[in-house]
Amino acid sequence: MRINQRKCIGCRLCVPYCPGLAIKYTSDSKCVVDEDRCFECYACLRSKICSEEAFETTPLEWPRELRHLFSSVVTQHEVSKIAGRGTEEMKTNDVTDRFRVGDVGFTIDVGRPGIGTTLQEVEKIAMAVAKKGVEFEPVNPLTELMVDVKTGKLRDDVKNERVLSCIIEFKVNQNKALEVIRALEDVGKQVSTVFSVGCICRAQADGTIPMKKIFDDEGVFYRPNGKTNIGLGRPSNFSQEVGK
Amino acid sequence: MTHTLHRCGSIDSLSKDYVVLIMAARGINDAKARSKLISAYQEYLIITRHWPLRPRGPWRLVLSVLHRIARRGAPLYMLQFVFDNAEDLTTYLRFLKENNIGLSVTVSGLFDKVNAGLEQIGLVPHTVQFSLGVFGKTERLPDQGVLDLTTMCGHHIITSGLVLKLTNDVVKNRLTPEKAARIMSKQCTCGVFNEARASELLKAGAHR
Repeated sequence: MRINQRKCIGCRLCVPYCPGLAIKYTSDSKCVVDEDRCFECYACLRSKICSEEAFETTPLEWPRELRHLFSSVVTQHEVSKIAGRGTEEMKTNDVTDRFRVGDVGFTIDVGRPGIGTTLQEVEKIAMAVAKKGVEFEPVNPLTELMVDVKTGKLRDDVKNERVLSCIIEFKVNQNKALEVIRALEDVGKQVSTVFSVGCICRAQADGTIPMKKIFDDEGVFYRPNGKTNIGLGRPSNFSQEVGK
Repeated sequence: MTHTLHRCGSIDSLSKDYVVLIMAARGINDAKARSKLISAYQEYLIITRHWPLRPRGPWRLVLSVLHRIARRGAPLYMLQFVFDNAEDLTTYLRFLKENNIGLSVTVSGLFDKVNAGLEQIGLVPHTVQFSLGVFGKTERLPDQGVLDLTTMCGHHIITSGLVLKLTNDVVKNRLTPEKAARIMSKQCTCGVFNEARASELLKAGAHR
């Protein structure tokens, strides 16, 4: 993203709209975008806050295009086939069976809330949990950047890119979930950003969640609010194909 | 796509904040999702008393999205709606169940309130996702009052700076809380920002 200097009138109205704090006011009484800080999320452009239409996109080449892919809300990823940074994860679990009884899924939103991250920091977290034998989600856009899903190591050429956030997705057997949480607490002391942790659990037939008792017994914090898939989904495409 | 998971706030404030996401699974039940989603959207408008359509209602974003997708001829496989009370939420979930929506429905909100609603209509959770909070360099985070607002846009396109600026505008009577909440809401492309809750938070913040 850049600001056309001929159009900018230096009103600074755009400055608070930038999630990356990348818009600077210069001694020329103009605003400019700090390319290093810019996430290429296009929030400035979409806000339409600039009366002079001074925001202009610039061609994004590899690996900088990753900034846009992970930071723009409306961009669809080739790997996941959905807009956003993650996958369908638990939201369609009632039809995909991605997480079965005994599985615990994790979503690690690195850079969230609102701080951002380099992919270098993301790699630290991915490598920390990989040591616990986790299974990374294959259709997650971040997993696609790993050179080795056993170690969580990312491609070298992408590590300096900055993104508003990205999601590490994986699952483990329920008996390893606490080990993973402890590993996340440890690696949290070694990173320069923040990460929000989500934990996906399949309910039993009566709706009870075994992990909840484990969290309570082990003193693991969880918020009183979260997400609940209420089980209304049904497979239907196949029956249509065979004319039922 | 964990954008509605980590919403912050007091229990009282969160009791006025629920998001319903209806989603088809790619290749499994997306073939007839469009008509089901449009029907679900219409019922949402009725239950939340936005029908008949009002010129400045929050339905405009969703409607414009539907029209845009229809023009492109692209498949429609997901919609999401905000509710500002548990009673409307339960009424809506009952509609989805009784009309056999057949698509996956995920509710974000206080577990106690959501579970109570599910019990009323004879459902139990299938899968849940807990938020275990924020790890790492949490000293870099803004104040809790700011997070209560910014986390309603899970992609964090609503910045701390914008919240502080608009709160200041409300304090100085340059903007009403409702107008400030609407400006924030326009940044949230997903449409999951709860304007009513934001207005309340801005009023409370202005008093502080």
